[in-house]
Amino acid sequence: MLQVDSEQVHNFKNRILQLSDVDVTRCIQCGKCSAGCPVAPDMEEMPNQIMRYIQLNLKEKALTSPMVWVCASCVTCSARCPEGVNIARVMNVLRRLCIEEGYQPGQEQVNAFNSLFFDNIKKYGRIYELGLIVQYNMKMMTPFKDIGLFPDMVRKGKISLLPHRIKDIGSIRELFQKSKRFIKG
Amino acid sequence: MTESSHHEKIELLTLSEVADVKGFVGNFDITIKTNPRYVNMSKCTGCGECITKCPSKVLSETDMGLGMRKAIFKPFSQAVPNVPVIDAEHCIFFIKGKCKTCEKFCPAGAIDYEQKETIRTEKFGAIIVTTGYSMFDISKYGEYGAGKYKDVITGLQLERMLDPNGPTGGHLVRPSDGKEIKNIVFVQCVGSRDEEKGMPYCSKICCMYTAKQAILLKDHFPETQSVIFYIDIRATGKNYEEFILRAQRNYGVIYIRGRVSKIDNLGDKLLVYGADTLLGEVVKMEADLVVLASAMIANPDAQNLARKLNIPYDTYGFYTEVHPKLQPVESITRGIFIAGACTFPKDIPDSVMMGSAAAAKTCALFAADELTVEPKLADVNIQKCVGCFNCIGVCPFEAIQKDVVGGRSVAKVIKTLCQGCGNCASTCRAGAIDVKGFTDDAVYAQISASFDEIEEREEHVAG
Amino acid sequence: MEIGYYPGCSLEGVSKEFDISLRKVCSLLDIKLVEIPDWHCCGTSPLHAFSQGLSYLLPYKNIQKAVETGIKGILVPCPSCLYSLCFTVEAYKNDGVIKNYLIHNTGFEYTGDLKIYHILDFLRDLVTLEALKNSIKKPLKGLKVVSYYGCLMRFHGIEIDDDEQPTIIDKIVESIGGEPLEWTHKVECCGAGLSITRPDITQRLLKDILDSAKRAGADCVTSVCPLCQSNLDMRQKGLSQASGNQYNMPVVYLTQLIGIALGAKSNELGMEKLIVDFIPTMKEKGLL
Ligand code: SF4
Ligand code: SF4
Repeated sequence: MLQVDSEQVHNFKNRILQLSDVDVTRCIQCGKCSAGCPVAPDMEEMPNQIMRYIQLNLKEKALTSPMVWVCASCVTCSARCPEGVNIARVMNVLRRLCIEEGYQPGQEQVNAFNSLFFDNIKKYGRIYELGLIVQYNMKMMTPFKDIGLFPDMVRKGKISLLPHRIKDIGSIRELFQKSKRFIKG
Repeated sequence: MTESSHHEKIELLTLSEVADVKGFVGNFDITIKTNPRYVNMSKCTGCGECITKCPSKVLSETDMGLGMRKAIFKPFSQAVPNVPVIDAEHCIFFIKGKCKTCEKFCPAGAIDYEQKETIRTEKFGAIIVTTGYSMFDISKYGEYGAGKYKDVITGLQLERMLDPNGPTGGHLVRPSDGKEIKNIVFVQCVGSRDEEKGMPYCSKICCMYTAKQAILLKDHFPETQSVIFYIDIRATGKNYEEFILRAQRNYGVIYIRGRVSKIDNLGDKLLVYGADTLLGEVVKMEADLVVLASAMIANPDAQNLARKLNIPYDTYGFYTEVHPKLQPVESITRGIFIAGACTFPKDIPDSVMMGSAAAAKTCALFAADELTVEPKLADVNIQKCVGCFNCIGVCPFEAIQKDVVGGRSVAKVIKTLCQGCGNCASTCRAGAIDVKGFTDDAVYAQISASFDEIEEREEHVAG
Repeated sequence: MEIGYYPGCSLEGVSKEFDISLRKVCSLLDIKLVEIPDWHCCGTSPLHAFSQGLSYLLPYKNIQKAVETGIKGILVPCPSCLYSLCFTVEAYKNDGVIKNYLIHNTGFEYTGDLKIYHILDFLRDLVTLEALKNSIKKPLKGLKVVSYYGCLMRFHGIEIDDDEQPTIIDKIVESIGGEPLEWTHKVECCGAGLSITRPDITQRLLKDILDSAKRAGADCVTSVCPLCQSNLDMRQKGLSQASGNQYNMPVVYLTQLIGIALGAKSNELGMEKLIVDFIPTMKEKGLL
């Protein structure tokens, strides 16, 4: 059963407002975001429900929902929301908040991919596609996933076998050093 | 309408517009511009021969672009008077100087291409303004293919299709290919409750007309199935909730709570992507026809008229009443009443109520021998008035006129027009105008009294 | 004409043919591309989800590199990079906290006069469709094209067109003599971002898009996004296997189509790198 604590009910919503400049109070729960969301048909929850969690201060539900992690950042929802709620931006903030506050991401492989991506840029300054995919598949223990794509890609010269490291990688690593996860809120 | 056109005390002026309004309650001078009909009303018998023979076809406004009309036409079948009009913009004779087919075929010799617009000024005691409404332009909804997909139509267009005299002769067929219709999806709140593309307000009538149309469809075409996507059902009138329940229980209309995000045109059918927020599921369904409940908006012409009549309007263009609860049919100008959808979307019962109220208020106004006015009116001290008439320019109600007293030009306030706003009083350099009850002296006295009080309190604190 | 060029990581790897064809088209139109020296990855969505600081810092540093070359405008072919760059500039302009943060951490103060173009507004506003039309050597007569804008085009801060029913690619296709078709999936997401983590979802989205293109009767899909193109092109084989239906819809970069129309040879446009072969279609239409 859902316990709504009237004293606290605005807390999470206000935090989201602070972090994303998006006021989820505006959401009228019409469902248009969900109706157009490309990933929602495969998910247990829909974007409008995530907005609802925030409206009712259900922080943990919002932060750990797989929907939040599978969101493709396609911004279809934000573009069509009749009340101007930038749902996609909220999704982004929820993902960051989830890690920041030590919650379990609702879809571990997305988080794993993101962190490999992060390391990849840190190492080379640019994306090393082959390395990224291979590393990811190793990490997920599915070493042969996507293997069917490789012969074509190699034959057509579509993938660099070696990474390309930018010259001034030092200054990029410096940015990684300097960047705090949150600069607002 | 026919009844009123025959009433001995009612003169119905069609093709006419208010060009200018002067004067005040009981004493309005209205300049009326009547546009030419190009058909002599006293000769025409209404046989319609001209319409049949006219070679120029134009998209019909009444049929919302679903059908055609001729350049000489009657706007709709029950139009009053039963006399056609020539639309000069599309008449071949007016464009090319040749044709005159209608004149040739009119057995009554009623066609008159020479008619000119006429202008006249008449006196009236009161004015009731009922501009009606307009429909929101659905083509802003690219995600619905609105304005692009022929089988995505508005509620009003469906209404026309269901009319036996309408563009499809009352048959339910797809506008795109004339094929039969089985599955109909209604989408509510299109252009309303939408701060991004439409209007923030609830358009009020759509829940009920959508339910009505769904019931009607089932009644006339039992093999059809209607599905209605809604956000909230607002059925707050007498017997309205019962009506919705009837649609659901007796007519099998399916209500799905959620907005539609997109419509795909697959050629022979439409694919609707919606959501059922009660289930938390995405809904995808096929339809032969999609009907968008587009919002009622203010008549775009109403703002022009409002400026002539001195009626304020809100950001949406709806007229503002003196008081939304206590004086809902009065405009701020005495003797000018407002009724119907010019103030906000409303359905037929509400419009009839408002119209009746405005009529009754007018009767009450005319029945009295004297007018009572608010005491807080501007008052000119003619001794002080220097006749600069700066006040005339600032009065929003045109309540100040020039007057001659003892050979001197001075300002005069028309009591029935003045609303006591005080613009003139603050503009008058000679200090000749005061608003009764708010004289300069009284206001100064109040201000210094309140300062005295503050001083006293401060002294008290200091002491 | 001279313009800065930020290719982005994809155009170095999986989407090389986008880079090749873009460079060729520019040289044929007498436009000099000045590649931003030692540019780095702009971060894109995985990073946005990871670190807010970096999601602004990386694009900002690229802007710094561009400004320091003295160039006045840059061309950014990848909508995802474009989004990161525009999003950063917007935040920099409107949000004092972010502005200070960026200046503090890079020591660089941006004055806001770098113009950022995608190839679409670049073609429309700088090259102009009129000029494009006049340079055509081989009009793409009879080639039926559906334009795929992808989901990101509508949120990148550059005024392109109508969000839901855009027409700018269609107009470009028309001006090079092709036949743009109406279809239903112009702006639907292809799920490229999920192709590694949730391939099941990506496959469903791909299928919808390709089915719609087939239904419209297209000879090819044209794309302006490296992520969309590679996703739609590379994964058709897998989709055919999984669905049991044959998918063989060429997905071509708009720059490749323009290149053909400007008279470039197919190997100068990286045509051979496309996984679903476009050569037979070109032969059939007499474009080879
Ligand atoms: S579209 Fe906007 S208003 Fe509607 S449910 Fe989604 S966030 Fe709420
Ligand atoms: S941005 Fe995320 S939540 Fe919004 S429509 Fe796209 S996938 Fe769904």
